[in-house]
Amino acid sequence: MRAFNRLLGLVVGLALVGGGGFCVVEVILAAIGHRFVVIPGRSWLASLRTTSWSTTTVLVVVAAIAAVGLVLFGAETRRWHRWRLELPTSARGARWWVSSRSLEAHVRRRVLAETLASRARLHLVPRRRRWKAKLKAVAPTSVRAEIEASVRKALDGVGAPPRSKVKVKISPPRKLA
Amino acid sequence: MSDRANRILWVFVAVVLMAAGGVGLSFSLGAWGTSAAHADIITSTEVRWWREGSWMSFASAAFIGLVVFALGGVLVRSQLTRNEGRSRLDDFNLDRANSPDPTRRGRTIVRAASLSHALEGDLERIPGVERALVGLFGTPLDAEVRARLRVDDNVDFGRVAEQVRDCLARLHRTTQVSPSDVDLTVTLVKADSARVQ
Repeated sequence: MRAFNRLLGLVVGLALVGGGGFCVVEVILAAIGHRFVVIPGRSWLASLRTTSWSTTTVLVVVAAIAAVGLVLFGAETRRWHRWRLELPTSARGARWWVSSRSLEAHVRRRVLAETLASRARLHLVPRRRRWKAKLKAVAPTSVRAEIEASVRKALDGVGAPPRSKVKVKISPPRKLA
Repeated sequence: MSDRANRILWVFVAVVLMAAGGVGLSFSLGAWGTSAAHADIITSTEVRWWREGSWMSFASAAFIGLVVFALGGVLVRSQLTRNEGRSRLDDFNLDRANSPDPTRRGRTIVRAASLSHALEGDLERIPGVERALVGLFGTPLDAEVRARLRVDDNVDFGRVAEQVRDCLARLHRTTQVSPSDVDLTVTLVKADSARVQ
């Protein structure tokens, strides 16, 4: 989403530069009695003077504008996955961060190596004072405590906030026919 | 432009689009009455205003075009600006051309890039640190250090943090650059993964 925002900014910015530039040139030319050069101004004006608000085309266009706004608003206001998480060691003079994707992958590797889990997916959510680790694993239900301990150990190893919450959701492995 | 600023901008744009689309929809669907719904988008009254405005109409349109052009330029520039607009550390220029002692005359220039490369090298000597990328910003007396470290996932992070502090202390001792703001991002990599030299 960050890269998308940046790219969108660049594209919209270039469109505004182009549109604004053309507008200034066309208006100056029109003011001194020339015809429109690039923008088909006369046909647009004629069309807008004969098109009412209730026509289907206008309805579709304004609905599309509202829909684009709604989608953009939803995408920008939802909670984003933080690309890095601040470590409590930051208090010692420098701010320390850990890449959340790499930490999630690290914890997943540890869980798979140390427990009977055959699949694991971790999602880390930073809160004000602690993190919330949500792990989904495919494993026998009896190893829940073992998996939780493994996640805690891996998080403690990188210096995660001490009271971080670990939530483990286990799906039992499918039995072979 | 920072990610936060970009996000605020697009939320604002989204609200404007929703409002414009909503008002347009209300006209189209007849919320303002059937006469408004059947009215043309540009009415003869607006055309008359334009004509009566004479040169003022053209000036207003040209001004709006100019504002749009300038806004677009600012937006493009802000998206292309690297490091969120922070300026990189300047080169050190130790100019002693006018020194009274002829044996001490001369000029020494230390490239700031060489300092960041030196710090990268120092950080990469820490056991477990695979790769370091360093950016130095601000002024030598109030420098900002931004670093990204690729670190093996089996190392003792407390030890790595101590050694990083030692590296920064060495930077200060050798160059007098005092980092007032240090921001380090660690990416954990599998310890036994093959290293590319």
